[in-house]
Amino acid sequence: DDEEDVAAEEQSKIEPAETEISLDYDPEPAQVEKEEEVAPKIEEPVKELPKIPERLKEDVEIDLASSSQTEDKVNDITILVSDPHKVGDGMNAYMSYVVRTKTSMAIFKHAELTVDRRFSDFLGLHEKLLAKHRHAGRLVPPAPEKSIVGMTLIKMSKTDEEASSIDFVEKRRAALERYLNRIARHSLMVQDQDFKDFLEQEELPQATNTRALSGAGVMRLVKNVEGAFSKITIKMTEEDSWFEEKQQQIESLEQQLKRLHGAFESLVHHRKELAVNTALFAKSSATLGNAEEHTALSRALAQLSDAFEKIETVHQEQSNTDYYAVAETLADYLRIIAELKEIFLVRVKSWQNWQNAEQNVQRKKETEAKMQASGRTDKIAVIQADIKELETRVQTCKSDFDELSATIKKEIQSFEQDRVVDFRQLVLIFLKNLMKSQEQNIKNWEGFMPEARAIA
Amino acid sequence: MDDSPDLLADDADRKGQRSVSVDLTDNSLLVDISDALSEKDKVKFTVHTKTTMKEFKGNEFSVVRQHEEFVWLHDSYVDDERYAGLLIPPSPMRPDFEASREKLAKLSEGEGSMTKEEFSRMKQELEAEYLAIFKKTVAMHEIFLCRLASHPTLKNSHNFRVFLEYDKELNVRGKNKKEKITGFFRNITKTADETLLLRAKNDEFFEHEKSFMSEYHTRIKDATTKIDKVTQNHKKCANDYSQIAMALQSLATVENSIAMSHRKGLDSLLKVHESLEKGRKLEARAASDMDLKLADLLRYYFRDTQACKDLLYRRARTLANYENANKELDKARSRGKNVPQAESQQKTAREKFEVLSEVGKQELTEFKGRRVTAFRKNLIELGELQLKHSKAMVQVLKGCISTVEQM
Repeated sequence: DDEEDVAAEEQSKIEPAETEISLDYDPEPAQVEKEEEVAPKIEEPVKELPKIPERLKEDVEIDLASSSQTEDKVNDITILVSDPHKVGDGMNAYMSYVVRTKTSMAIFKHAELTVDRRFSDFLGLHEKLLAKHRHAGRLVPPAPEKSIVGMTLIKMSKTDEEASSIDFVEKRRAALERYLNRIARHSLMVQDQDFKDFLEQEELPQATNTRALSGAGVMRLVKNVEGAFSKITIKMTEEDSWFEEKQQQIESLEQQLKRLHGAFESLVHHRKELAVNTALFAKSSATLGNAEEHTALSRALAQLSDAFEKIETVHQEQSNTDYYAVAETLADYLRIIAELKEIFLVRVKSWQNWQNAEQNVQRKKETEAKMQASGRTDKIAVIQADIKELETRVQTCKSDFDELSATIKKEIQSFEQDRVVDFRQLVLIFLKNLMKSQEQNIKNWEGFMPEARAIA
Repeated sequence: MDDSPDLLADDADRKGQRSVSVDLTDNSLLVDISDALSEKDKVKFTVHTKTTMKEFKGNEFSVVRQHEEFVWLHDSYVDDERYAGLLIPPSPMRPDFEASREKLAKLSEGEGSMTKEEFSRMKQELEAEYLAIFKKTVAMHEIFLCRLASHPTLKNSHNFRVFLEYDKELNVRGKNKKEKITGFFRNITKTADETLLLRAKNDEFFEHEKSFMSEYHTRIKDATTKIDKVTQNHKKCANDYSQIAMALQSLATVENSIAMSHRKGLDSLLKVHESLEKGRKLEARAASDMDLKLADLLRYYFRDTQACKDLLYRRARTLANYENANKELDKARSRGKNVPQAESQQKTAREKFEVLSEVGKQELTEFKGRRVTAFRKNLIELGELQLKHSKAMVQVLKGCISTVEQM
């Protein structure tokens, strides 16, 4: 399967179009489960108390002080993704990651689990979860994005070390880790068989549907484009003011988060440039120091160069943390919000089903009335039976809709709880990182001062 | 918005914070720029003079001068053979307000897409930026005059007196290209220039200065370019803080509308954006101080070493004249024709060369002392200011972090 991963990456480029749930089209087993899902959904356990998120690895490094919070969390499970390693050669090469789980939850076979997973396995997991939970109104954490550029770099790299030193690999590792911990945070998804298998099973069945862009895939894409059109045409009369308000809030939240994310990306970019230029100046001032004939001044310039070299490291570290711990988390949130909007659409669709059912009853009742008016009583019994059946259907649709609305409300509540916790964390990381940098700068300049004063 | 005075009130010592200082032990002629007015496309400087020199009509007077007149004054020194052995202070650079004018124009275009608060904040920032460039321009023009006024020979120039005293416009215009190359010492092409410099290998001191200056000049030029990029990027980062602070503020407003139960999270966000705004000011301050203390110092000495190179070139040129005169004298002697005339020409050329060498040597030695003093002063101040800003930043962040942590 030569270009399978590249093909997989390509597919992702078009994937955002896949926003519709195909009820009747896709013959994949995951979709079939959809129909059965209605029943288990009712037995859904009462949503537990707000959870405190699992701390991510990079956060722990910076923010040891407040990590004592972990005792509050509901799902005692920590997942680390580590040791990215290259498997295979040439076009068949891919990166594999070690997924380590530590948990005290009884649903897992062991307290510590270790498996090897490649990126397409994560995507496979995501598709399965999406198929099972999205239509039920549950917020499935978005999977990390595919990257053709990143994959090409890996395929081109000669050694394992070279491959794992690529920036993209660390970025993806961190993203995968955040992704798994987000699933683990969800009281219901953590118990999902596919998620458990993902963490526990030595071997996973190949996630074929994420690999190649098959004929069926193309068809699905075409259909999704159509779906996108029909989506717009649905006009729902919102009767629940909570949803009306929430949707508006989420829109403006998204807008502001985009802006914040943009500002952080710009900061990261500028600070990277700053680091590069600082290093260049460090070199340049060392050269100037060499040319300087006044001994003490020459020494001071060398010291200045030294100080700038250290400042460069500070900038570099700072931009890395700002990127991995802040900008990336914000990007995650933007994708979570996109998923949230999908769930809103699922609700709209469910509402539409209900309305259709109501209309059907209405039509039948009209027919019944016409028959009675015209005295054709022979078929009335059949019609009445039909009406009865359709009314049951309305009831089912309505309770589906109500239930879906209730689930979404709960999901959004925990989204909001999580968000406050995550943002507090994010802001703290950013500030502490900033402070650390300033403290290092103080040390640097303090080291420089004696040499400057020694110029005589 | 609160401009916390503890962080930003050190404007008073700005005047003492110039990148280049001038030794003012001789008080017979004191010049400063008491005022400057920015008009459409030019800046008008009010040049204020206090003097005890009897060559001037009064002892305290002011005139209004423009940048072009400063350039004229500089060129009049360069073109005057009497000052060939002296280091002519580099002429001040043309004020460049274009960039910040453009930004201001852009700002007014984008007025509609911003909130009132954001607009006024951006406007304030740009005005501050403009003011900084303005102050720097004034300082550089003042430095130029101060150096002339404190130099024992340069201060006696007739043109300088006219510049300081004549209370009308000097009606100078920029030189055109032709005039630029027909200046007194500038009538030799670059290649001839290099051969001349090669032939000037006769004096250890000048030989050393020549190779030192050419190397130092290249390197300091490089360092200047590099540090400029550093400060530019640093300023961009500071500006990003401002963007982040603004985004956080609007985010806080959104969050505020979302749920009462998240009040605590919100308060921390609000607190953060205020602190970040303070942080931005400090960061911007650190960048502009680095610009002032380090970049401007390097830039000034880049230009000053150019003046040194010019001096060395003029010496080489005089040496060439002297050598030519020697040759002419040899020719005249062998032919037995015009000997006395050639002798006197040779004598003048030799004297010119000797005087120039002697004065030049002194000037270059003084330059070295001046350079070391300026670097010492500025590097110390650079370190102190960076420390000061970083410490203030740590204070701001500490307060902010502990507030967020208590949430």
